[in-house]
Amino acid sequence: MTAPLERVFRIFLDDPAARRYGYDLMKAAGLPSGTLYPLLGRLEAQRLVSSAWETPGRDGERPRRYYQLTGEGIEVARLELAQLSARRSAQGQRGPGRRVRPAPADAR
Amino acid sequence: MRGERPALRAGELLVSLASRRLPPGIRQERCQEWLAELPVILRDRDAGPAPVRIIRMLAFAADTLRGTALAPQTYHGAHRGRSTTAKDIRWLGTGLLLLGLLGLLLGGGLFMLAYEGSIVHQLATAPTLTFSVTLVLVNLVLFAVACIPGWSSPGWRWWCMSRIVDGLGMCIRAIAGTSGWGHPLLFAIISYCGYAISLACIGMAVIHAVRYISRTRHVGQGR
Repeated sequence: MTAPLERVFRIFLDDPAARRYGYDLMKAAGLPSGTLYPLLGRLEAQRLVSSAWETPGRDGERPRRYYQLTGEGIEVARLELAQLSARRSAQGQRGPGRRVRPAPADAR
Repeated sequence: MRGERPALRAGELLVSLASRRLPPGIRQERCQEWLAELPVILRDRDAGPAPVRIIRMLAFAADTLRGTALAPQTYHGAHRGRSTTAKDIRWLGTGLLLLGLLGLLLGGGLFMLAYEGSIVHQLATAPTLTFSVTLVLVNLVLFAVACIPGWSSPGWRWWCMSRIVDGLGMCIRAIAGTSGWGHPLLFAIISYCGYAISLACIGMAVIHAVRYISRTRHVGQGR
């Protein structure tokens, strides 16, 4: 899982029922538009995210596209994030790992 | 917000350029989506004062262009895949374009510094007539532009006025110098007075700019 995908999943899972538009997600995830929208496109093609057009309350405003995790998306996101945190905790327990230093030349 | 319309137009232009690179099936939809986000970013008071919001909106639009230039198929659900030579060239091209824009901004800043430096240099030595007349004429044109309703800006007007006064002082000194009128010191003093008045005008321009920024912040906090 890439770091942008992880961030997007976390934001969606903060409130799975909430619908979010692109700029809202960009601000929350700290991702640029050129990264976020292709990601949303992929998630939508995989049916993990659904989108719908909604007209905001104010007059004269253009309809905006809102995104939401699908039921399958919620499951997949939870699973992926759980696997990721398990991997991270396993790495944390193992520690940074010992490096075998080559012996100094005069010790040989 | 002042300057909203031209900034929005610039953003819309970038978004339309970006959407042209997308596959036809999703082009219209994405374009509509991004166009709808532009005014939202401009009116997002949490993002900071107006100039910051304009920069954010333009950055949003420019980054859609970057995204579609590098990998248009990913918007349709495809993965970016492995690096290819064509993709690397596109990356390089986009990087060079962004570097060019950065260079343009830096160049603009340096140009402004050089412009001020040249005025002070001309003032310290004997100003030439060509330089003085050009300074006055260019700033008269800029002043006229600053008086157009959509572009009206008191700070800009004061700044142009400062350069006009400065140019006029140097013009008088240059004409007197070439014609041999009066004592050169008298006209040197006149040109220095012109520069002093121009500094006062620049001060007014700065006050207007500061007021504008603080007013925008105040409106943002009062929401």
